[in-house]
Parts: sequence; C-alpha cells; structure tokens
Amino acid sequence: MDTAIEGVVLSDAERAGLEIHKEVVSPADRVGKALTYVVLIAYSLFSILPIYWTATLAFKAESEIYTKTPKLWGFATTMDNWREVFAGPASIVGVDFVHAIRNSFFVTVPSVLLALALGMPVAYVLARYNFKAKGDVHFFYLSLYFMPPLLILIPLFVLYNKIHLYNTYLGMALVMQLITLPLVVLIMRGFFEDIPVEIEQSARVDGARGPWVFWRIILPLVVPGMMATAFLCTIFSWNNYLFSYLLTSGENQTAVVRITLYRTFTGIMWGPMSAAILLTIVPVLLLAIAIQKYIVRGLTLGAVKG
Amino acid sequence: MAEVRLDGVTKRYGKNEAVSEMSWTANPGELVVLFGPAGAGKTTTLKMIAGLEPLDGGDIYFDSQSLREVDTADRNVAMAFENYALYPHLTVYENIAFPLMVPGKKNQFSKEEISRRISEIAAVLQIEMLLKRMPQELSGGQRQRVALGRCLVREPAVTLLDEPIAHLDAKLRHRMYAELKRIQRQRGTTTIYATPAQTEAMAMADRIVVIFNGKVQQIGTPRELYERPVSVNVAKFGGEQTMNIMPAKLITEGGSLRFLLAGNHLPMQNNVEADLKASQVGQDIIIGVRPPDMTCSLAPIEGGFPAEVYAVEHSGRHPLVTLKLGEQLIEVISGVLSSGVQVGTPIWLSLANCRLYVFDAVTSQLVVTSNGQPA
Amino acid sequence: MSSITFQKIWKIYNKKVLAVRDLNLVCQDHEFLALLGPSGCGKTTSLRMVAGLEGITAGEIKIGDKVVNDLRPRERDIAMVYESYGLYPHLSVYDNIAFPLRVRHIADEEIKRRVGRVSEIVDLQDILGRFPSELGDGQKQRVSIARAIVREPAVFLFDEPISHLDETLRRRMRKEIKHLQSTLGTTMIYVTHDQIEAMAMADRIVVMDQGVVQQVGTPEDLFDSPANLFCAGFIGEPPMNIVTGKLVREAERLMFQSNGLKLSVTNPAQIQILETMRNPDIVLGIRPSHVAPKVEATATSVPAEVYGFEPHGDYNIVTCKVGAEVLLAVSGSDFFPDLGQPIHLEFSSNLHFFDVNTKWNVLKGQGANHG
Repeated sequence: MDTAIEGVVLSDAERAGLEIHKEVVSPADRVGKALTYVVLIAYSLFSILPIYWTATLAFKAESEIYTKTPKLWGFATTMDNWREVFAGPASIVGVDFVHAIRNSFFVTVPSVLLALALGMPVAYVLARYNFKAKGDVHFFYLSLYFMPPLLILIPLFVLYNKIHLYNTYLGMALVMQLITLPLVVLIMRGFFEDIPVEIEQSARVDGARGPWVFWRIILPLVVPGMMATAFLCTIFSWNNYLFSYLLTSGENQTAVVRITLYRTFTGIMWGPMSAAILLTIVPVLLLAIAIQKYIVRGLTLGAVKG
Repeated sequence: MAEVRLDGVTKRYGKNEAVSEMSWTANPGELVVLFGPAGAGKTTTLKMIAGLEPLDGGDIYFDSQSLREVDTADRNVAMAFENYALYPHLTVYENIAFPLMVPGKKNQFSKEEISRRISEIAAVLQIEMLLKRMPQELSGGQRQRVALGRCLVREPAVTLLDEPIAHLDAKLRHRMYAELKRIQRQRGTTTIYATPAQTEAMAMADRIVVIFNGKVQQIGTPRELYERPVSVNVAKFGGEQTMNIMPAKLITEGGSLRFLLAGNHLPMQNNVEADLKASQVGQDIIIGVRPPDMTCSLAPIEGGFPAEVYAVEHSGRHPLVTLKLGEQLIEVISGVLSSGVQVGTPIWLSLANCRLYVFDAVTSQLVVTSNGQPA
Repeated sequence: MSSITFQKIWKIYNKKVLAVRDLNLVCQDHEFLALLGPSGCGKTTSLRMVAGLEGITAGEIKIGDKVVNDLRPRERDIAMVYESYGLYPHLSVYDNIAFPLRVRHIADEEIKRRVGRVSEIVDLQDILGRFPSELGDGQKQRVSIARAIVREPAVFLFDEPISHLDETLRRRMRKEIKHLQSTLGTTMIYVTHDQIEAMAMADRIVVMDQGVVQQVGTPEDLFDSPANLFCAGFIGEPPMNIVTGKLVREAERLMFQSNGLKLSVTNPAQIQILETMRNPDIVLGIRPSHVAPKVEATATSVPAEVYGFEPHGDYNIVTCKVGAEVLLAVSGSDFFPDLGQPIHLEFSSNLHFFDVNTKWNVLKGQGANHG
C-alpha cells in the first residue's frame, strides 16, 4: 500500500505512522471497470487490425498470401513487393508508383498553401469585423460542404478541358479549394477569435500599425491553429480520390488513384498493392508525428486572465 | 503632460447607451480616477480616449486638439488593460520592451536605454526575477505587474490604467498605491485610472469622476466626495464606509418637523430642521448615515428607535453589527457593541447627534447635511 | 445537526502531490467554521473529502459519531453550495429547490411545505416561478442556498460561494449567510481565500497553507495572537508590518533594532523568552493600527517620511519610509500630510515576535493549535 505515497517527501516517522485508507470498491464498480477495458481493447484491435494486416501483406511472399489459413506473424518474408513498387516504368504492372507519390505531393502542398493564403485573411475579417453580410459569408463557406462534389465535377471536367486546366497541378490545386478553403476559414476563424482583442489593441496603443501587428503578434499566436488546420487540409487533399480520378489521367494521377492499377486482368496483386498502400500512408503519418506537439501544445495561451 | 477633455462623449451599443454625454477635464499632470461599478462605462471611456472605440457623439481633446482624425498609434497614450493583454509568445522582458521597439519616429531607443528603463520599472514593481519567464508561468498578480510595467516604460502624454492592481494581494496593493502615485507625481504624466473600489479611488485620486450607467454623477476630490456626496447613488456605492440608506418621510408633530422612519417619529437636529422647513410635509426623503456615525446603545435612547440585530461580523477594530428595521438593513460600527451581541437583540439607534445626509427620494439629490449646509 | 471530525487526514494526489497533511480538527455542532488560506492550501480538498467528492488517502472523517470514509456523498447527510450555483437551467426556482426532495421521493404536500418555508427564510417567495436565466447573481446564489437548506442536512458545506460577486452584493450576502447560520444553527464549514470574509462570518477559523494547518482560533485569537508569520501576514487589513532585525541590549532594556527602527520590548512574557534566545536575529510584527503617525516628535517616537497616503473616510492609511523599511500606519481622519513630509511614528507596545528560522510566534512554541 506504500505505492499511494511513494513520491511524497515525508519523514520516516510520518511514513511509518500513516495508515493508507483502502478505497472500498463495490463488485458493481469492478465489473464496470472491466467491461470498459474490454470494449476499449476490442475497439483498438478493430481499428489497428486492417493496417497491420496490410503491412503484413506488403512483406509476405506470394505463397504466404494465398495460403488457406492466413498468418498474422511467423510468415516467410520477401522484399519482392517493394521492388515492384519501386521499379518505376519497368514494373510488372507498368506503374511508376514513386512518380504517383510525387504527384500527390505536387497536388497536396499547393492546395494547402493556397488555402492558407486565401483563407486566413477571410477568417481574420470574420473574426474581428462586424458587417451586414458577415453571417452570409460564413454560411457560404459552410455551404460548400453541403454539396456533393460529383454534381459539379462533370461540368468541371468539360470546363477544365476547355481552359486547359485538365490534367494540371494548378487545376487540381484549384479544385481542392472546395474542400480545403472552407476548412481554413471555419477553423481559423475560431483561433483568431480566441486571441483577446485587447492584445491587438495594446499593440496599437503602443504605436504599432496593421501589418506589424499581424506579423509580429497575431500570426505567432495562431501557429498551433495553423498547423492543425494545415494538417487536416493535407489529409483531405492527399487522400482525395474523386477529384484526381476525374480531372487527371494517366501518369499525372495521384498515388491514391494509381493504387487501383494493381488490380490487373490476371488478378489482384495483393503484395505490391499493400506495399503501395503503406507507401501512401507513410508521408502523412510522419507529418502527424512531426507536428503532433504543435497541435497538442498550449492552444490556450494564458497571457490573458481567464 | 497633456490636458484631456471629454465633451459630450456618447457611445452606443445597439439601443443601449453605454456612455451618455460625458464631459469632464483632466488637467495636465493630474491623476483622475474614473470610479463606478462594473458595467458603468469606465473601460469603454478609456478605450475611446485611446482611440480603440469610435465615438457615437461628442469629442475628445488633447490640449485643445480634437482626436477625431487621429489614429490610435499616433495619440501618444499608454494603456494598461484590465485583463493584462500580455503577448503570450514573448518573455516578460520582451513584453515590457515591446512599446520601445515598435518602429516609428518617436521610438529611437538604444539597447542600453531600453535595458535601463526596464530594470528601473521592474525594480519598482518587484518583478526583476521574472524577466526571463513567459506569461503562462506567472501568477495573476505577477502578470498584472508586467502589464503595468509595459505601460509605464514609455513616457507618453497620457497614461490610461484600467483596474491595474486589482489582482495583487493586500500587502503588495498598498505598496503599489504609493509607488504608482510617486511615479505619476515625478513624471507629471496626466493619468486616467479606472476602478470600482472606493478605497482605491480615494487612495490614488487627485480628483474622482463618479460614473453610473454611463453618466457622470459627481466630480470632486476624494474629500469632497466623502463629505458631500451629491446624490444617493454616489453616497451608497461601494467601499468600506457604505452609507446606510433609509427611506423615510417628513411629518409634523406639534409644530416641529420630524422624520417618519419605519413607524418611528424621530426628532431632528436644529439646523437640519431649519433647512428642511422649505420642503413639503409628507415628502418622501432618504436619510443617509455612515455606520461609524450612527449613535447606538443597548439601553433605550430618548428620541431614538429600536432595531433588531440581524448579523454580527468581526472586522479589525470594532464589530460590524447589522440591524434589521422592517425591510431595511442598517449597519453600525461602534465600540459600544461587543462582538457577543446576539442575533435578535434590540439595539437603540438615534439620529439626533450624528452626521447625516438627507436626499430627495424622487430626484435622489442631496438636500441637506447635518451641519446645516444646504445643497 | 452534527459535529465533524477530521482525524489524521492526509490527501495525496497521483502518489506525488501532497494536498493535505495530517489534518486533525473538530468542527463543533452548530459551529460556523471557516477554512481559510491562499489557493492550493488544501481547504477545498478538505471540504470535498467531507462531502465525499474526493477520496481519503489516510485517516478518518466522522460526521457526528459515524465514520463516513466509505459512504457515498448522498449517504452522508450533507448539503453543498458552490461558486457556480449548480442550478438546473430548465427548471423553475421552485423546481430547483424541490429537486433534492423529489429525488428522495418525498410527498408533494411535504415538498410544498418545505419549499415554502425555505423560500421565506431566504426571501425568494416572489420569484418561485422564474427561471435561472432570469435571475441576478445574488438571487441565483440564494436559490442555491435554499436548495441546500431544504434538505435539512446535518452539515452545510460552502465552497467560496460569493467570491465572484461584486463588492456590494458580497457584503449583503455575507450578512445573509451569517444570519442564516445563526438562526438555523446548522453546522457549517465555509471555504474562502478572503480573510475579510472569514473574519467577518466565522465562529472559528482554520488557517491553512500548503496543506498544513497554521492556526485554529476565533477571529480575535487570530488577530491578537497570530501563531506564526504566515497567519500574521495573512490576517488583518491593512496587513501587518513585518520587519526583520536584531535584538540588542541597551542599559537594562531589551531593544529591537533594524535598519531605521529601534523599539523597546515591554511585554514580560516576551522578554523572558527572547532573552534566552542564542540568535539575536528576530522578526517583528506590528499592526498598522498600532502605529500612529504624528506631526510632532515625542520621547519615544521614530522619525519617518510619508511615502504614500490613502484617505478612507474616518481613518487614513499612511505608507511611511523608516530608514530602509516601508511601514503602514493608521491615522485619524484629520491627518492629511503631503507626500515626502517628515513625520513621527508612535509605536504601541503591542509587538509580535517571530523566530527567524521557524517563523513561529516566540510566545507559542512549535506546535500549531489543534481544534
């Protein structure tokens, strides 16, 4: 029972004299606790299992993939699948997957940057200023999510062809704004509102003018918010299938779309496909780990009381 | 060292007038306190002087120059906000240095000068050991002092302080009253100081502007406000020495004027009677007496009236005894009553020889005070 | 009505954080006991342990004669009032007050009677039909209190119920709560960080700091004989002057000397103890109300300079510089010095001395008063 007090600085006499009180836990409580753990573990397994399974497939030799009883571990491994994925134009399937990953980058990064550049000023204005159309503007951005993208993608396909944006990175970055721009506006508005207006007022009283206040005071304070928003935009852009599928073709398509090419006439190449999937997941996962502390750390900044 | 003049200043939020036709002047080098309860319009007024809120009516002048076209950054004011408004991503040192490092023609301070000023102000505010810390690591009282430091490190024409030491503990607060007053006197900066605490207003002010619901109630020195509150609102608002407010009526009895208070007929002092002779009999009035001024006794007093003890509170010197008279609560402080007085015990009070104020119940204005000086 | 007993109570969070250390306390039946201290001192934790909202690491809590360690909050016959009222926004005032009774399946007739009686006590009869969103802060707090009273519990537990109200309302609520407890006679434990509040209302006060009880006593006890430096500086407004200095002998007399201040010690009990001390370093405490500023010097006065001045109506607070020390003094209402004016301070013989190392009042020895 000493574990209840082991971290505390006490004299020996005090420690000896202390009788730790045992919490009385009713049977009903115990069952409740046990049940909670069961549910949590079950759900965790349910979530992780598909990814784990895909990972194992990526490393399994073909013989192992088609056995009657699938193995979760202790199987024969091979790097053949990975060789296929990295083989470039010389691959069996004829897919240069590394190039596809590159496409994903060139679509996602501009989309996110464009959304931030266009959306932040809008968010700031919505947060700080009052004008008649304010509610309407906010609703407009929200309404972009009400609409199923498919509705406009067919007409957009025709339009893009006409203005030569079909199959271009620019075209993709622009259409991604349907998803990323509202995200930036809606989320960043909240972060701007969280900055007490007195902080900006204080800077103005001290003689600072607009741009100085924005760059030196406001921007540094919303960096965590920007990181979180940029991350969400990245996920949605990177994983988007529909836009890339309809508005680009062939070698220019993003990784997410190109994965389907591992389904050939002769059958599904599970091994290389799994490897390709892992490769697609990895960059975003790494990004999440890298900026995790920005998202988690001090979003409430205590320099203002309350 | 500028003169600050408000002329008919008005501010509306929707239909609500937060500040109505406010006019007063702060002389150069003076420390004027804006005194009023929460929501009275003090912060709004300070922000209008700083240029952070636009005016809906009237104008504000620095040294006779209208501020209508002058942007906040050009007004040469310094402001300490009630909720500190420290920059969370800068250290304490950087926060205080910020006003000195903003680009502009006035700000050509060398690193040494900045460092010197910061050390000086940090010493006065007792925050020297916090200079490298971040605002999140500080307690409320420490943050408040940093905000004050940031405000005082400049030498502007006008300083605006919004409840700048509300969150300091008692010991530090008395010290800071003295230090702030000293700095203000030394530099001679015109200062406008907002507070809801009467003791603070009395301690700091050269003159006090009393504000209620956005309207100026009275302007005067602390002493003037204490001795001659011009209306019931000013008299009863806040602080240790809150005046007892007792609604009463004027009646005649055998040719003399009397107070009718909760069913008791009370005689009045001669000079009071003389000054009230002009008033209507049957008129509703309000009697104000401060707790330490009320005569009280355990034994019946001739011409006095009884009330029951409602609660007894200990305070430093004598207990604060609250009595119930009908619906009224009346406070008295007296050496006559010990802290052992029981709830329900009748105590006798008398208005015969004490300093009292008579207000007109309809207009709330002061009519007479007990030394017979008419309003 | 019951007494509350804390016996060897300890509270430790997460194996590391010591919140309450060895609390031994008895709150008598019908008593208004205040737990007073700065934030983090353990007062709220102690209250919550009585309520059953916090587990007890070690020790026993008794309500009356019953040990309640393992009883759920609702089994303990207590009622709690919080800073945040805890009113149900979708229920009227009447329903809010009736709620705890309905939970216990009490008959509607009885509920009506009890709620009626309670609303009279707390002066809410006219607003029984209103909803919390329509009420002012003071009214909301009164509803919260009414809801606690209607259960007719053995003990009231109040957790800083009025700290957030504006000053005028606070003053009024103080009287109402005090009046309530005096007339109902229910045992009450009241937590606050405001010493003015505790001094005004409580029969006895428990001063706590960092989990440890510093002193237990009546307001007079705490004001006139603080047990240690913490209590001395914490209780009393304006706060006690604290000066570190040395004890010296001059002729036959024992003197306190510091940078600028020289006073003779006259209390025989103090002289007896101070003379046996090996270390001449000592801490002096003297209340501002025992320091009188005068325009003219007297035989025993100390010269000083006016550093600050606060008029308060029937008395004034003068901040004085004495040598390198800054002291507060209280003067009558007719004293209006200029800043920087030289004046003279007359010190009463009501001096407190504290051991430089242990911080305890030299007259009290080592142990804290246990109540």
